[in-house]
Amino acid sequence: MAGILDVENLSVDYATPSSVVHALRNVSLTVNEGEVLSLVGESGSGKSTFALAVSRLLPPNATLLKGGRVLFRGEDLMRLKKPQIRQVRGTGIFMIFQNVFLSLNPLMKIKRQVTEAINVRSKRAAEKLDKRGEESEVASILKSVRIGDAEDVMERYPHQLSGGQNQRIMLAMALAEKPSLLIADEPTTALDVTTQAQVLLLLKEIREKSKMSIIYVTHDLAVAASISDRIAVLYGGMVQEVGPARQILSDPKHPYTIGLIKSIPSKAKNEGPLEAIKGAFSWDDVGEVCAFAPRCPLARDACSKGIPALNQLDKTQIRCINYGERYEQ
Amino acid sequence: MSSNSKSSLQIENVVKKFDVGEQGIWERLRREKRRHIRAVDDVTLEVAKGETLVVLGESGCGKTTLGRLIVGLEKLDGGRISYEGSEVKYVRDRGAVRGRLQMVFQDPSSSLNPYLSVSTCVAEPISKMGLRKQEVAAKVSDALKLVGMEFLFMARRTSDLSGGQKQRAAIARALISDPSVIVLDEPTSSIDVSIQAQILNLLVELQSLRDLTYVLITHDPNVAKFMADKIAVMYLGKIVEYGLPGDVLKNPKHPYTQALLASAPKLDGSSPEAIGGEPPSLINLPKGCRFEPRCPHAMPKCREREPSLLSRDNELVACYLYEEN
Repeated sequence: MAGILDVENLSVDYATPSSVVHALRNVSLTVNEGEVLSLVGESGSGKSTFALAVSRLLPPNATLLKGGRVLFRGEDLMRLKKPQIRQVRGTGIFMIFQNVFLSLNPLMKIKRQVTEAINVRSKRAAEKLDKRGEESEVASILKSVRIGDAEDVMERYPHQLSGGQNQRIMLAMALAEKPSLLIADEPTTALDVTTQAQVLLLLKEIREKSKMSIIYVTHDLAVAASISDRIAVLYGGMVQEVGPARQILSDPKHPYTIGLIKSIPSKAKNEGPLEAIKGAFSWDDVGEVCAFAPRCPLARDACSKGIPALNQLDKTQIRCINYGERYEQ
Repeated sequence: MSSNSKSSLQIENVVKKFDVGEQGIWERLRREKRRHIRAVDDVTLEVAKGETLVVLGESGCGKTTLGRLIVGLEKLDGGRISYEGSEVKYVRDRGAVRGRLQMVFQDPSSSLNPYLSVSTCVAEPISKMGLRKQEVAAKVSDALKLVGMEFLFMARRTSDLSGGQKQRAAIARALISDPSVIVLDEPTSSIDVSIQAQILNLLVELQSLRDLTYVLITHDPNVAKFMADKIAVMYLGKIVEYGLPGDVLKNPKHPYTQALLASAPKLDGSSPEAIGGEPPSLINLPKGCRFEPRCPHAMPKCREREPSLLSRDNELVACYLYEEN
């Protein structure tokens, strides 16, 4: 099944002064046309590294290991040269980040930044747009991301707007470029709950209207639940469980996913303690064994025989030997 | 919130103002009045001994400022805060109560000095009490044991700890002076989800062990539900709703509380509901109810005068919808 994005065996290492960290290990994921795939995990899970690798924005100390392929509409992004990658960014893949203040230019008015995005698209699509056409498009795009007084906001700088408004400007720029894949890395984490709900609803609406595919990176399962068609749970740089969102949330199989769902508080303190996952993630646990085993309530000797392989169960894949004692080669 | 004998912490009509804008020489010569915002505006609350009051709200609502006022880290601009009958004073004032009120901050990476060892950090609150070295060391190891950290950690620098361990160390630091009130400012919001439950369980355990009174500041209704004995919902410096968690979270009365709870994403995948708009700036507050510009039930009355906090079915609500005529 070929999707809009097919990632095969993607592995990324980070060089640190003292050691090499295996941030991603043989990650294979597919994003289908018009689908929202959420990557859920805690810090160190590799979820952001995946997003950065797909958009070829990894920091200089990162190395992509051989054998990995990132096929975007059949073309391997890892083989493209810089000028070709620039052609893909924006109209092909658009990325929004957690910290919008770092993504927007503080010295440029909103109007110019959105116009820039429109220009990139019109140039690549060889459309002809005059000044007036541009301006009315900026206004209509800002209105479509629910910015009420668009004419006023256009003339402002990012620092004069709130975090929620700025995140909506980023979405407006995405809309202006009409990408086929939007990668959103924790776009609502820095926002308030009520603003987060606004942005989530907007993303849903955009996706329905424009049939954009979305990779949504988050640490919050509940946020993932509200937006995704499929969810991939990452831990220690590997996909631990991936499948349809409903199925993963209502019937999680991997002990880590089960633990994550159980540790979300849903009762009061006098009803007993929360079922917490013991311990904490450590890079020392990542190696030729199951990375979650040291924290797993079901861990046994067989967990350290090798890295468990992904087992197919219905529509979900689970990396746990309790669903078939098979290991990665 | 009538006075009761068990009450540990009393907050009465507390006001905190912050100056805004610049005041250069020209403004001073013209004797222009400084503009200010009221970050905490006439807040009255009471916490019973051994109980947890959760202050629920979004950023900018004044919940952190309220927390800082309670432990004396900010100077009051009005009202009174007292703890077990004696007044809480600003930390820099003479005769301030120290040690009995402690605070745990949101981000342990910035509240613990990264260059110091865990034991030096944890010992800070008692370092000026004139105790002997062995006494301090004994207290540090007791405090660390309470939060589930082995003594192996004592010599390590705080920068070498993981997020969860740092927050445990921060809790140990708050516990070492044997406080009776601890203000917890978003203690789990910078920690990974899988660790959050451990820290919340630890806080509940410590509370029953030491009969601690907590003021927990959070934006997360799930955390509020687990921790709270009472909940106060804050919006732009004011308490808009106060009551038992079973009432406030299950059956919210104030339109803001309703909106806040409906916006929170849920695991069942149901779409969060969004209210329009964003909080108005504290500099130009609406004349009437502060929530009126975003409120789906706004009436002409709401634009004219601010509703006061009135009691209604075991709760306190500041909304004209519940005013009896």
